[in-house]
Amino acid sequence: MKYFKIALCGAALFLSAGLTQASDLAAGKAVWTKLNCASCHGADAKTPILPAYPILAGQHADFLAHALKAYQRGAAGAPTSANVRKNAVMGAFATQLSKQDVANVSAWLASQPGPLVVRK
Amino acid sequence: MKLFKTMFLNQMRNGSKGSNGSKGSNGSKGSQDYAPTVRRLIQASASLALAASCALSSLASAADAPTGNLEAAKAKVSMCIGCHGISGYRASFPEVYSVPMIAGQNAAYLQAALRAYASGERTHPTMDAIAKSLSDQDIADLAAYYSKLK
Repeated sequence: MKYFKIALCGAALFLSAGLTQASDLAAGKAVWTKLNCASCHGADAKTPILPAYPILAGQHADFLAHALKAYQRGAAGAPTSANVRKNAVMGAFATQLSKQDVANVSAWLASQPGPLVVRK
Repeated sequence: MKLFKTMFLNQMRNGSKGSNGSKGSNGSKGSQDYAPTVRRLIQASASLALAASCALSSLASAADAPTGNLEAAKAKVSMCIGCHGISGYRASFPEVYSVPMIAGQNAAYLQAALRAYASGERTHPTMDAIAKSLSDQDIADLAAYYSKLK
């Protein structure tokens, strides 16, 4: 019985973690849609309209979040020693995002299938 | 371009030497002084035309940049693989994050990113230093290499 309870708790935890993750992804997709990111990065996030724009689908979520924060820092006029990105377009979009938005959209992008890999 | 500038300057110098020389040898005979001056003008304008066309062609070549060479890149990736070639590698400033996957990324984007680090549009201590050490050819080679690496 004791083990059954523990197993039940474990299953509940696993399920709730799964649900939280799912809602984050849905919220992330909503951010992507709301800011119309697809208009430059492509509907699948891996076919940008210009090759000079990055493929985002499948990239590490924490790197994508870092890039968005760097755009926020750049737009806020942070010193260059603070690891910034200065870009008028991306700066304008990134400043509209809350911390939660950044986490959600990054998680959603990372979950999309893409061609990026770690290779030497 | 530098070469043509030097040629142009040399021609100007040679031209003026020539006219000085003829002035010296011909004394006050003004009519004979015109020839070297005219020659010098023609030479100068020819050089200018040459320099201008050269400037145009160098603009054109800057627009379509050097072509990436996959083989040449293999001798240049040593400075990339220590971070981008290690699964799970992370950077730590100002937030902890995985270094980006660059294999399979668009070549034009990889070039744009490296140029942005070199120009200061993007900043990151390690990437700034590396990007500033790369020539346009290095950047083209590495971008071609990583975009094809899948």
